[in-house]
Amino acid sequence: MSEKFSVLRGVRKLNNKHDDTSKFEELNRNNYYTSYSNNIERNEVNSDKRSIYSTYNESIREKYDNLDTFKSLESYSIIFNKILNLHSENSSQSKYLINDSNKTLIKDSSVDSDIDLPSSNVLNAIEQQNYFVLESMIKNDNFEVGYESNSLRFFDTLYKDNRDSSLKVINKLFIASFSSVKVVVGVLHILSSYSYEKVDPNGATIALAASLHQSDLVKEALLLVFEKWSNEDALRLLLDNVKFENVWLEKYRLNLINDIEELLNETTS
Amino acid sequence: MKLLLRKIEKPKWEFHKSEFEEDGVITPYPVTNDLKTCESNTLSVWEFDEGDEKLFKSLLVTLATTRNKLQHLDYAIIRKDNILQSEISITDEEGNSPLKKFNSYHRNLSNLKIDDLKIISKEILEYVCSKSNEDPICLRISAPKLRIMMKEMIENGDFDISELPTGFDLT
Repeated sequence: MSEKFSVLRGVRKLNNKHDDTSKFEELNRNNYYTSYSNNIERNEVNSDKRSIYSTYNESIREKYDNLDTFKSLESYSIIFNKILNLHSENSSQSKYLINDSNKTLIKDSSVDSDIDLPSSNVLNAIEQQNYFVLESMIKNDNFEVGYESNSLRFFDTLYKDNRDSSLKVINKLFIASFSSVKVVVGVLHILSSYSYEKVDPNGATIALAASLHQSDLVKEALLLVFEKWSNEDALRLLLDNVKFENVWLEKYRLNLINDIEELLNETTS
Repeated sequence: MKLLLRKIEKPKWEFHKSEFEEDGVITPYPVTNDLKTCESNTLSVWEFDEGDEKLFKSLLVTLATTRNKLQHLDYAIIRKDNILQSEISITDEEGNSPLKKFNSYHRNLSNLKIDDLKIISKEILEYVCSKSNEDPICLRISAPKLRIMMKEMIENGDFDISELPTGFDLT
């Protein structure tokens, strides 16, 4: 994963080298379709909606091992989009990428969904791509208190590029992955780097939902978010809506309320 | 008595302390996840005298600034004598905190062997267990508390706000 991120984060210096893209695409095409055809033959597409995405990922990973020059986030985005487009144009199976349980989260214009959602609630192609990359990064990341993670660096590039879109992506990821402690903790670690205002209103919604999670690891990560916010809104949420069964987490919550109050008093005095 | 301050992640120890409390067993999870030595087989600690509360608080802030995000800090305190009696060597090495004034208090537990990690883990677990029973939150300084402590130190002239890492927004 770190290797993958070194590719992702690196490198705006190759920004305009679209040669990378076509080179990659050419190298990738045969391999991708071979493995994809095999998947269809084995009827795996129907049984595993993620198999196509896995194939993408594996193909990409394999190929950028061989391409020293393929080092920019931009190139990665272009390539990912092209693969998605190729897939949509050439395969009637494309709906399996976005259908099944994910159809309420991810929608492609070429697919008729059973559920009509407002367009603002649906991820467009780029957001789908960012969704999958972020999900994959979080699952492979190491979140350590006090340190930036690779997932945070990636999300921050999305955030700086388009705030609303990035928040939509992380919100969808949080809801879809609520049963995954690793992803939920990762989402909270990412949120804990932004002030309340910067992630408003999604941040508070995610925080409140996370407070209902069974896992103490999630609750621990949730407190990181409130620590970062340290404002009246955080205080209100912590006082009125959050309570933990675990003794030391609950004591820490109460202690945090005191510390935030002290900080706010000091700021106003 | 000389004490050594070590940064930890409390949940990694807290959630695995029951085996130690009940049977004296040290489980590998906190050791392998929270006592990561560098390539030279050293562990970083900060030395202070028992009872020197001012220096202790300053070192907590110093330790927090060795990271790149202002988030809560979990810590443990190890008795220096116990480490020396176990024949673990302690060497002076200037710390790399942006708060240069306090870098001279940095020490390395050096030339560590795998058995030494067991001794250090035992020290940490004993500390975590004893303190957690007294006060479950005493091994953690919250981010807002750290902000308050940093502001006090800046007002006292201990360091300048410009010395803080970019991720440390005190506003």
